[in-house]
Amino acid sequence: MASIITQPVLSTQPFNHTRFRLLAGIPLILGIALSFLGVAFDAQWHTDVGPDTFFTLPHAIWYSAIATAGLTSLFVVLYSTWSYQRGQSIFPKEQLTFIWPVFRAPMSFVITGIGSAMFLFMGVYDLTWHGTFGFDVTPISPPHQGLFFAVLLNMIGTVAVFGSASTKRSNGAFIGLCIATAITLCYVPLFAYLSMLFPVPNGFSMTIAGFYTLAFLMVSSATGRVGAATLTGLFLLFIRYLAWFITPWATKVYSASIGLSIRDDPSQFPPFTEDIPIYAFAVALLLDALLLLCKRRNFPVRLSVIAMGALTALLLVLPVQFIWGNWHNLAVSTWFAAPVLGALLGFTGWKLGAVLREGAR
Amino acid sequence: MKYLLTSLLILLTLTFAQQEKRPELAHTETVQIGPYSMKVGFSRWPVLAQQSLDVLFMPEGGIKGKTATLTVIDPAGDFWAEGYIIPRFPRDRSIWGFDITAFDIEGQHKFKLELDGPEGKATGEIDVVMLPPPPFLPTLVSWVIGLSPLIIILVTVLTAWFRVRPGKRENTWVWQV
Repeated sequence: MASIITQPVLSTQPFNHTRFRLLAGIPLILGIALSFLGVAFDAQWHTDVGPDTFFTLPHAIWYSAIATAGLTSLFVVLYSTWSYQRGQSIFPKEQLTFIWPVFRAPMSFVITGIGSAMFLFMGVYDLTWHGTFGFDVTPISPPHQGLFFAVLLNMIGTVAVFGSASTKRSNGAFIGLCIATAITLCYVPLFAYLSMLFPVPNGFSMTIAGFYTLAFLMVSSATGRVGAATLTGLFLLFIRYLAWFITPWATKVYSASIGLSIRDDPSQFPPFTEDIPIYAFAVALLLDALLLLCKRRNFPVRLSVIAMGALTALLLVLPVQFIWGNWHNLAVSTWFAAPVLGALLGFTGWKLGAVLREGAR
Repeated sequence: MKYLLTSLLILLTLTFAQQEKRPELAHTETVQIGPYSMKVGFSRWPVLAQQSLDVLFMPEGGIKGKTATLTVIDPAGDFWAEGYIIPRFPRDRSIWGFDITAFDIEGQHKFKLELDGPEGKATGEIDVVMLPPPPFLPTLVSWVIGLSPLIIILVTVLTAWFRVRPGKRENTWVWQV
């Protein structure tokens, strides 16, 4: 009897490791959010003021954001390994992945950490690039895309950190997953620029619409709750407006404080931030209403997901194309291609939600 | 809050303050544009394709009361710039210029300048030859390195996917929401 009472209750409660995971997720969210604001600030800085040296405030913010995510995951990996070696693993054993030579930690934190490490590597790669080609501010260069994709590792790791905990039906995991997904969606336009290398009509808008559809259906399926897509859309809106107002202001204050003035031909709208479709919130709201309807009427799941994916992508691609100012460039093929892509990616997103819920570690 | 952020920015700024000056010019050309004489300066010379540099435009007697537009036609016959109003150089407001600009293809570029000032409107032109781009890794290799985090993402997601096999799970296909 006495032994039961004196047992370390905390480490044996399944609830405890979930709570630890959520707690560790907070600095990760801070890190990835700051890394979006950092890159948005950097883009605004380059287009509006832009002496190009490594030592600028936007770079400092961006790199600290990466460090926040990286150090947090390093801490979790080390702590998890240490607790495992002591025989009192903080995470259940089935959640641990063995990383050579001694580490045992949940994969989601490992991925987040690898993202930060790769970011540093891409930083060096970028430096050699600029050493050869001089400075440039295009989003479409191999090292710049490398930096963006390294941050995507941070983001996907964070999504998995919360996605894995979503089995527990905890509100923390639900909110965390929606925030992490929303921040990842803010980053999608940065990769979407790659579509410009391919001769796909409306490729940029299609990429954004496709990934947003995937993400909205993923969070719905992972959390198993109506409202996940709406909440994700709401956070997306919040971060978008935060960047929209902060980066132009910060650019002005920063440039004035070091005696530099704004260019004669500055950006009209905050770069990158302007590419985030605000309409996505309304589409997410509609998607949730449809999900509720399908559930109430008990429509077949597969068919409903495919139909909702198609509709979501179509509703997203039109406003994105409109925001981008080339409404008249909307190709006829897009009216057909967008729903097909949406059905495919929506279906994948739904299954990916199940992967997150059941398999993310 | 705003003051807190401002002071934080200024504090950080002190660490990163680096006021830059007009770049040292590697080469200048003089263009005669009607009654005006203008120096065109390049921060690197020769100019290599795909390598960025600063290009400055310095009319004699300063830029005050004048406007200039630039049209650049590349060897393929495409416009690199077409009637672009040259902005003041960001790091030196007393002259015009572009910072970190690059020309994609090698060969002879025609710079057509139009200057409007107190002595009327006039045009002039110079030719600048861009040499082949600097050597770097092959394009494919440089992209594979750049996209390597994406490869890690795909491998991780696919591994989890095939462990879970979401399509075959019953609870994927029931309404939980």
